[in-house]
Amino acid sequence: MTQARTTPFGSPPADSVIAVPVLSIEDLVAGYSSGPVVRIDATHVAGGEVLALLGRSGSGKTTALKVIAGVPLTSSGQVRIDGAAQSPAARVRLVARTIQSFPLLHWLPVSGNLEKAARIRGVKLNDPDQILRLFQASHLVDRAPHTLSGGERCRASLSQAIVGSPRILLLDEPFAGLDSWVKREVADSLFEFARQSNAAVLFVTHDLHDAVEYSNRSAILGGQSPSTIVAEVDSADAGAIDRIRGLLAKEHAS
Amino acid sequence: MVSMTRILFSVTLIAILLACLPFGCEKKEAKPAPAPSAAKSLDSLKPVEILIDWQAEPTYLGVYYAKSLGLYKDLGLDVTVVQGRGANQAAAAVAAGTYKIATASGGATVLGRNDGKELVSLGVIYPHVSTVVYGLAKSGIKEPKDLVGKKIGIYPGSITKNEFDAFVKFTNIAVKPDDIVSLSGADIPLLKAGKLDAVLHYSEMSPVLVSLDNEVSPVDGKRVFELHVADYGVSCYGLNVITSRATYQAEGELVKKIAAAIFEGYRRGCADPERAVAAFKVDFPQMDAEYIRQSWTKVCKTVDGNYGMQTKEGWQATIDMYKSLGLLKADVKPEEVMP
Amino acid sequence: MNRTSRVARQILRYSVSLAVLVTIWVAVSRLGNLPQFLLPQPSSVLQTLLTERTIFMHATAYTLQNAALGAAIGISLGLIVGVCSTLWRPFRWIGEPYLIIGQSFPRESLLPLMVVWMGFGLAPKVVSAALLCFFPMAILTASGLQDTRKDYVELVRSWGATPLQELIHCRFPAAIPTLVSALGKVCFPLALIGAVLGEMTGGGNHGLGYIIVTSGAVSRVDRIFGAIVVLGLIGTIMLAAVTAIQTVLSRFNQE
Repeated sequence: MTQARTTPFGSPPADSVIAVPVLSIEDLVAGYSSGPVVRIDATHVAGGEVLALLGRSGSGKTTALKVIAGVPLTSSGQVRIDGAAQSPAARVRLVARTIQSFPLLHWLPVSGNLEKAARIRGVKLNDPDQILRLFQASHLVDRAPHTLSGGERCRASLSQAIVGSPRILLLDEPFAGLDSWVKREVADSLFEFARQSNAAVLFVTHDLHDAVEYSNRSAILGGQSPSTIVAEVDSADAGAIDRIRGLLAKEHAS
Repeated sequence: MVSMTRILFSVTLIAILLACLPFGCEKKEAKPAPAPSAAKSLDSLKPVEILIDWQAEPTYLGVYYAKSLGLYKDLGLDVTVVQGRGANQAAAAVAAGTYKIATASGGATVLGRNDGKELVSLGVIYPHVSTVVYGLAKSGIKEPKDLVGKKIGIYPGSITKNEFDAFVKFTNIAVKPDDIVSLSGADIPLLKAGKLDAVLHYSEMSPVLVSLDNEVSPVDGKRVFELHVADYGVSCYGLNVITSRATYQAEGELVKKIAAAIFEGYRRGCADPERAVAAFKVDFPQMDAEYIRQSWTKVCKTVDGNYGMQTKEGWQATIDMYKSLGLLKADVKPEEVMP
Repeated sequence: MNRTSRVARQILRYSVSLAVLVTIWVAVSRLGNLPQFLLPQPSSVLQTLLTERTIFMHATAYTLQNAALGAAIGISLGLIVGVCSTLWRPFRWIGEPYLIIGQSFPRESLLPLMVVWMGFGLAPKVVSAALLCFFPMAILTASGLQDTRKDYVELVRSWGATPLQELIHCRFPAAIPTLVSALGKVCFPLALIGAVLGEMTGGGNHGLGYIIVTSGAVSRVDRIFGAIVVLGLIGTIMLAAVTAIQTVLSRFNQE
């Protein structure tokens, strides 16, 4: 059953098309010593937009996140943030990236984890509760990491990630293992964050339902060595899921 | 939660600081019991260390008795007697200048000189070594030839090993390498347990202990047999006092006076053994008084009135013995080890 | 289970082990018909310890002091080398083989040479203690700091941490349980052993090692065992203390 899907906050504001996109990628090729893994010719993400990066395992999704985040990889091409080209070292300051296992330093409570992130990023943490509230994690502030459930870890990690007010938030498989109620709440928080801070949010997933449900737009990665974006599908489109399913099927066949 | 890292850092720091504090108590090198004649204040005395080449035993009683008599204090010295771990090592330490003066043996002096160590003997205490091949009397060993086929224990790093080699050569007994057992710990339990038939030791040490041991049954009134290697042609100098050529040149008067005090300690101790034994017992209360007495008697017998005398002939005999064992690669002359 | 009953249980546990040990000891020395000079009765050992308690106390203080100083030196240097090995590749590349070699040969065999230069005072004992515990500390520190969970390191790097920040804020705190274990179960015991060995082979006039070696010469086995009992007690107390610290730490450290 297909029907028009809109995100709770509607489509990204129309004037975002005229405004400079927060994230702008041109001719980006990234890989390791073994060779290039992913190639992105041209993609833009506007402020307030949530983009899903969809593809099967090994399609270079995590590599794409890493290179945008400024991890030192073999890469060429340009990544612009708010219109200005940024070197990988500069991108580390402007971009936040979460890790699949949602690690939290286990010898510190959640508040300590936030403080540590702020300390290393070199920013002042004025109101930790404001950050935690965004992800419905205020009640977790003094909890020890080993006492948190999967969903709670996710929220705590997300709070930790946005401590430095990043321009871009990258999430590696954030919805894996969460139940749908929690997923909905987390997704809403991500949209809220993107809107409030005029930031771009990208998340990687292999689940096409999650991609369409929780993003404004999905970019499908396909092909091999390097993989590329074969298509971008607007989540609000009716038939988005079917279209994506078809594209993924073609990928599996090849 | 306070930062755990911070807590651990500070605890570690405090622990390190605390560990460094007792460093100041190094001066506890003094014996637990005070020497009987310690009346004068020690502030004006010059501190000096005399190294004895083994643990404190009645063998070195003369060194300690000189301190009890105040002979070092009369020289303006505050002497600490340091216990070493072997004559060769003591010779090395003296040659390196770590100690100004030490006891060693004639063999260690000659071997050390052969090795290039510039050693000078300030005088000899034992004109002959007190080394014996000893064991329980009930083993029936009475002569060197009785040792053939028996298990003999030797301390590998000790100078007694060389003396045993000479002993075997001079007595011409057919001792096989298999019969020699290398020892590193206590010899008496092994003898008593029957694991050894004989051990190379010093007449005034283990043999005295065994002869006082009630657990050992005597044979004809004796608990031990002793074969003195000196009786069988092993004619080398034993316990002596050494210094290095460098120290002798720089502080010759000082070390000569200390050596003289040591020899005087032996002389007076052998002249008045009861008092000497009593003084030693005060310094080392856990040692058995009868053991000290009998051991000291044997020491004085070995010293045989030789309080510091040394001759070129005596050194030549020592050198010849070690040469005959093939242990000298250079030709050492008596003048090289005498002042 | 509250704290008091937990402590009581530990005390009970150690007492039971001790009782079993003493029973076996008495049984072996009586029934096994072992001569007194090989295995003295526990009662005679205890009596010796009581009669000569001043001597033993002085000796214990001397040995402990040297062990503590040697431990402080060996452990601090080990920590420094372990940290340097973590921060600088070339240091690790060149230095690691030396650490392995140093750990693999019996360092106490250097003692007879050391005393020639350092004399028979407390220097060779402190150096002996330090040498014995430096190598394991350096190796365990290096591996503890380098074996940090990959996702923790990735997390901290995603915040833009420099290698030094990574070390201070991530690797080191994560390695604390390993380091405490290394300290208490490896380094402190080795430092104690080093100090005792230093007294046994390194000459000198004091310490528990001195008691052991001089008592051997005069066949006072009860004194030897007395010294061994004291050393065993020190080791036990050390281990109990470390275990207690580890228990406290684990409250802050559950993964």
